[in-house]
Amino acid sequence: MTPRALAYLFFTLLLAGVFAGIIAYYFSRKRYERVEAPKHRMLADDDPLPDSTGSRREG
Amino acid sequence: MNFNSLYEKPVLFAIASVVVISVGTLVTTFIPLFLPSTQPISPLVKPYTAVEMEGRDIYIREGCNNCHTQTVRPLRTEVARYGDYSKPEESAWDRPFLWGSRRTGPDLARVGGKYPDAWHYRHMANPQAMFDKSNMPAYPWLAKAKLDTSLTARKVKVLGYGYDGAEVARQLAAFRETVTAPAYPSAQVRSQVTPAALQGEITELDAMVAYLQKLGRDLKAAQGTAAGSATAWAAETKNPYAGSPEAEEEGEKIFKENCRGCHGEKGTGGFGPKLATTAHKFGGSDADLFASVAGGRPGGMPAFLPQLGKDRVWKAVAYIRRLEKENR
Amino acid sequence: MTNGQRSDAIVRGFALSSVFWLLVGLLVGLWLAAEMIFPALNLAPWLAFGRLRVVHTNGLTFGFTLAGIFACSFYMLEKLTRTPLAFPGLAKTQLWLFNIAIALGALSLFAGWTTSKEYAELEWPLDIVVVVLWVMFAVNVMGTLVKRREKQMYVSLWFLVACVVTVAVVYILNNLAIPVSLAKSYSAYAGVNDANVQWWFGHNAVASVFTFPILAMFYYFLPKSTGLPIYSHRLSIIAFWSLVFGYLWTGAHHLMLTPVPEWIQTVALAFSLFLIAPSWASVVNGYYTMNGNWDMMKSNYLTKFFILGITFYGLQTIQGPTQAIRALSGHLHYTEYIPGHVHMGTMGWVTMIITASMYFTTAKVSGREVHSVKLANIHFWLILVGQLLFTVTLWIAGIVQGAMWKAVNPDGSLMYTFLDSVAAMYPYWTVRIFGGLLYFAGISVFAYNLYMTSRPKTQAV
Repeated sequence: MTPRALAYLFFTLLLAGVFAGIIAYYFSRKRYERVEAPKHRMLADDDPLPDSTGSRREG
Repeated sequence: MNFNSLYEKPVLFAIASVVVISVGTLVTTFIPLFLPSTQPISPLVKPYTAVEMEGRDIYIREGCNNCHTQTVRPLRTEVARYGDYSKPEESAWDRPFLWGSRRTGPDLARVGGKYPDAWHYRHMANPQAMFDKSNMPAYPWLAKAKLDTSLTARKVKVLGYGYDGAEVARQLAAFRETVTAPAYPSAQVRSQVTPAALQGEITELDAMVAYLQKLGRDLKAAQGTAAGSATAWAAETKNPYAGSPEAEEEGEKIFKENCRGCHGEKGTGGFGPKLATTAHKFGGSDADLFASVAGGRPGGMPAFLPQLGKDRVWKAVAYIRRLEKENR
Repeated sequence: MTNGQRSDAIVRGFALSSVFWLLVGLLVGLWLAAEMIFPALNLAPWLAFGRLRVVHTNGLTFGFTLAGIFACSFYMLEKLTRTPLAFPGLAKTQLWLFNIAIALGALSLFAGWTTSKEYAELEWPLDIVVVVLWVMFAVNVMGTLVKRREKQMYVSLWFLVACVVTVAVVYILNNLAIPVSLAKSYSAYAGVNDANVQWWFGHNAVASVFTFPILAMFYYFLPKSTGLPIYSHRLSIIAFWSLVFGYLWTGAHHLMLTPVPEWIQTVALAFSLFLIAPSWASVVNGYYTMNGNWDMMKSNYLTKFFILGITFYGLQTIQGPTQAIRALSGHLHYTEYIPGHVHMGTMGWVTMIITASMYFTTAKVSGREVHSVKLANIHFWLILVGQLLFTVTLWIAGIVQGAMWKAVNPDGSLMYTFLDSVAAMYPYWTVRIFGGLLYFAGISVFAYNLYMTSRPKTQAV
């Protein structure tokens, strides 16, 4: 294998690894609720603005 | 690091997006800007003359690139139809590039030198008069507008063609002298499409024709593709279809599609020579006529062998023979 | 009761501007379609095909699509952040400047002020105006996001941010040029590099105008109009990052078999094929959202727009990558197949989603229901049938055309002249006009319906 072909292979594997990492991170069960929360909240965005104890942005 | 917080920090998110889009941009677009393979220079490819450059700007203004490509792909049929495939160095002086994306009309990368100027003058004025099935728009107004040369020197400087304002003025004067001279080979057709007041000036059409004649010319010159080199078909001396009415009929169809535009209905002559005669300009033997059609002749006759093949060239010759007879 | 948001008037203004430029752009398109068959219609320099085609593409990309994006983005921004628009005055100025710029842009293209680089034809003075407009939009997007009261950003907002940054980067870099007069400039790049930069732009203009913000609308308005949460938010995370990463590599698939270095073409081909995955992640996400509720295709007038729209997106993102494969590119590139492909994306995907989203937003900001569900249904069927007639005809035409260009006799000579391949197109071009007329009829119904919906309630009769 030429260094060029190796470089291509390495780069491809690197991208595949990053891709797999992102999937593993976001599809882990412990992050499920937090990651999926916005899809439910967006359905209620016609409601009056929440009060200060609600879901206001922290910080 | 908690990657969930990315969706809670819009500025960080925007920065992350820029980084992510930058990777592909760097590799496929930015780094190649500096590679030798994307900016090859060849001494064989000359910058445009001042008039050709102005013609190119008219080509851009009229949006010709929306229907015509200027890049021949390395495919056998494409090379047969248009000529040698495009090389990167051919575009070295092109700002912008004009490769196009759609062939509503044919590719133009090799159109330079294919036809005489007169062909273009007549075609631009009325394409349907030459090819009745063509859907090319007529551009009669180009011959009615004087070429604006007020910015020419400045343009040449910005484009870095390597010659100065004095040279621009000299080129413009020399070009004007050439196209307005009575001895200009396409003088007759030019005077037909150009209004009287502009006969002595450079028109936009003059510049456009000059530009079209430049396309692919440097490459052809470098490769020395001489028209009419007889050696390739020295064996073709006798028409296998001589006297065959079927071949003559097929020849007539070939003639209508490929020859009529220049040589006139029934070969009575246009800006191409009269064919319904026994006194042919480049000789009247079977071998001569085959060589003329197959390989082209100086002065604007294109080579039809790559497109038609031997068989149909002979059929066209058979039809020319019939025209000779009918005319007698 | 009206929606009571700061952006109500701005959303309505952009929606109506969008419809206006849509009608103008389609009329120009119909004229162009007729010119393909009747060259005598090239009546004057400004009506000649070469100039008019550019008015069509720019008018619909920037006039119709961008205005639709602005209208729906301002609406989504306020809703998804639960925050009033950060700078409503700026947005109002943007609305006026936008319409002036589009009108000037059209006039300048009619006049032949063009750089010739596709979808970047506007000359440098107007490029500057476009950049100013974009900065105004970006300030409002980022400003509202920073002030937001909703902690996490929903997927639509990511696509909006991606749109803002990508358009900025590709538009500015591709339009770098040296002016010689008000109407004329020369590209900063030459030859092969100019081609490579241009199609890097060309492809990502498609990504960041016809894909990212339209996906943002899809992810927002499908759940909102059905009341069903999107199937998987985390799947959309994967789709988002891989789409945004992958798109920028693929520009050179527009330059297959040209003098651009072969490795750039090959890398573009590889990433084009990869892009099928994230594209279809959105398609699948949409279909699964409807799981168990497919009856809404009949009972909810907007659902079918979104589902058919995402279906055309799915087909489009299969067709595009296959066109990048060298052998297929050799056959199909430069033929009518490519306009067929583009028009499925624009007439199917983009317009289906934008028109449906504008029904939703316009009804909301006007504080009423859509004027007529029946008319919306007629609009849907007319644009669906018109688009299919148009695009399928052009695919067939392109395959025929490519075959004629490649056909050879036994002796190796070409079977057809170029003119033969033109003559063979006339029947297809005629059918295309009928497809276009049906489509235009559908959009006219939409324009009427949207206008009636947009009238402030006090004026209603």
